[in-house]
Order: sequence, then C-alpha cells, then structure tokens
Amino acid sequence: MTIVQLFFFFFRISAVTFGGGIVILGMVKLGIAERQDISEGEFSDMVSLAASVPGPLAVSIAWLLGRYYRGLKGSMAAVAGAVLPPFVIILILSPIILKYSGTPEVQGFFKGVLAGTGAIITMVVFDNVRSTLSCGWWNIVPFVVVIALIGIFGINPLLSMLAAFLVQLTREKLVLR
Amino acid sequence: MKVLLELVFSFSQIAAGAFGGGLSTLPLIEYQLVRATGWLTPSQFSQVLALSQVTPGPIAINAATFVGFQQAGIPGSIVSTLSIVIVPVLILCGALCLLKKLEAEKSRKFKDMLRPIVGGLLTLSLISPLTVTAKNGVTAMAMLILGILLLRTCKFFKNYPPVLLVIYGIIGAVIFS
Repeated sequence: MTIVQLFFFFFRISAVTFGGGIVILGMVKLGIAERQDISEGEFSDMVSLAASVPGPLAVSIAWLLGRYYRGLKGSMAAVAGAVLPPFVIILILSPIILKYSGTPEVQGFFKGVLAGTGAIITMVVFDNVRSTLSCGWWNIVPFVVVIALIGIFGINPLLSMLAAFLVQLTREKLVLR
Repeated sequence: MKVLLELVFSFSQIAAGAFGGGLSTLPLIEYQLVRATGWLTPSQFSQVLALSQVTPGPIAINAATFVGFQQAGIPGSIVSTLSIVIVPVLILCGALCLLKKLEAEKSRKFKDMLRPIVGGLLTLSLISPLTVTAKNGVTAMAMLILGILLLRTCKFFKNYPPVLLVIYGIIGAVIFS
C-alpha cells in the first residue's frame, strides 16, 4: 500500500466503526485478507503486539501496519487516517451538544442511549468475566484487587493496575516456578 | 496554557493505562475527568459515554476531543486527542526497540496476566451507566433490561448494537422530554 492508500484504508474503516476495539481489528483483517503483500502470520503478530500495549487498538494497529508497508511515514499516515474521522465528528458535535445539552430532548436522547449502553456493557462484562474467572481460580485475586482499589478506595486506576500487576508478577516468581 | 498542560497530563495517563481497548478504559476516563479534575459531572460523564457509543471511533479519542473542546476550544481538543495517540505510539516504539522480534510466548503470558486486571476494569465500567440509568427512572431501567434481552435474542441488534442505541436515543428523546 502507498502512503495515500494507507491513510484512506484506515480513514474508511475508522469512519464506519463504532466502539473501536476488537471490531476495528476485524475490519482491518477483512480489508487486507485479499492482499498478496502481507501474510496472515505477519498480521497476527501485529495484532498480538497491538493488544499488548496500552492505547486504542485502532491507533496501534494503524501504526504497525503503516510501518510494515511504508516505515515511519506510513505509520503517521495510517494513524492520521484512523484518528481524523472520530476527531472531526466529535469536534463538529461538541459545540452543538454543549449548547443544547440542557434541553429535555437532548437529555432524553442521552438517557435512552445510556440505557442501551448499559445493556451492551452488561453483556460484555458478563461474557468477559465469566471466561476470565473460569481460566483458573487465581484470576479472581487480581480481579478483586483492581475493583477494590479503584471502586472502593478511589485510588488512581493507573496505580491500582500497577499494584495488581505486581501481585501477578509476585505470583509468577514465587509460585509458578 | 495551564489548562492545555492539564489536558495533556490527564489524557496521557488515560492512554498509558488503556489496556484491553474500549470499555475497560472507562474507569480511567471517569477517574481523570470526574474525580481528579472535576471537568465533568457524573451525569455529563454518562452523556460523553453515550455520545461515544453512537459516534465512530475509540471511546478514549471521543472523550478527549469532547472534553478538550469543552475546556479549551479547538486547541484543547487537538492536544487532548494527540495525547491519546502519542503516548501509545511511544510505548509501541519502545516495545519494538526492546524486542528485536516478537516473542510469542512472552507476549501471550503478559496478556494472560493482564486479563483479570482488564476484567476488573470492565466490571467497574458498569457502575456509571447502571447507577445513572437507575436514577433516570423505572422506564430507563426497563429499557436497559429489555436491551439485554434484545441483544441476547435478536441477531440483528447483536451484530449492529449502534442501531439499537440510536433507536433507544430517539425513544428517549420522545418519552423522557
């Protein structure tokens, strides 16, 4: 892919993908499936790395795929393509929302969307937690540590995650040898 | 100028802890924007969450563009969005430099260790939409429960959740106003 193609490849996907995350990876995978210049193994290595670093998956997969095709410039073009659609859309909506957020119609709209969002999150949490906790009894320890530190003690989530990760590392070093 | 630096500081922290992508980032966003800075009230936060679900793009970028604009206009939304992008890119570049080639086994282990932590964050992300929807009344709660049933049983909504959200938003604008 050329630099321009990289930009528009991610621009197109980003403009129609809601929610980000896993969905975007599926779209990218579909988009490159018929290409001869990248193998499935190379792409799945990128997905694996993208999922191991923090930040939106759209950004990390765009950076890696851009780098694969065109180095640093390719990365920048791909990330710009991925970020611009949501950025522009929210930038256009922000002043409108700030101006009308007090009106009953807009508030009602958000109440309705939030009820639906609650339903979606409930589903995601249910599936995720069930499969995470069924991986092994130990997983409940870091799971509870994170919830307690953030939800009950109100500690900075970044520090709480670090603490839970240290718990994981300690177990790795002491128990699983 | 001070507010721009504060935006960079807050959104860099969100980006640095945004493992797992998508909804698991919510507790970090909520902590930074509601608790640590007071930029959003809890009900405004739930509006930003709802907005991010009916617009394309990762929630962290949606929140950054909106809150950046709310706090400091267009410059604010640019620096906030850039923070969400640049921090992960730097971490990704660091990771690429450190590991000459991706060690699949180590990467898998790292993700396994992160998994229950992400599960905890996901669980916490339920609190805001559930409590705000409960506060919005019995009808809103009934919509949430109906939403779970629809997502479980109707293949169309399961594949295209944003459609459900837009319908819910329109219903909400009519019945809650």
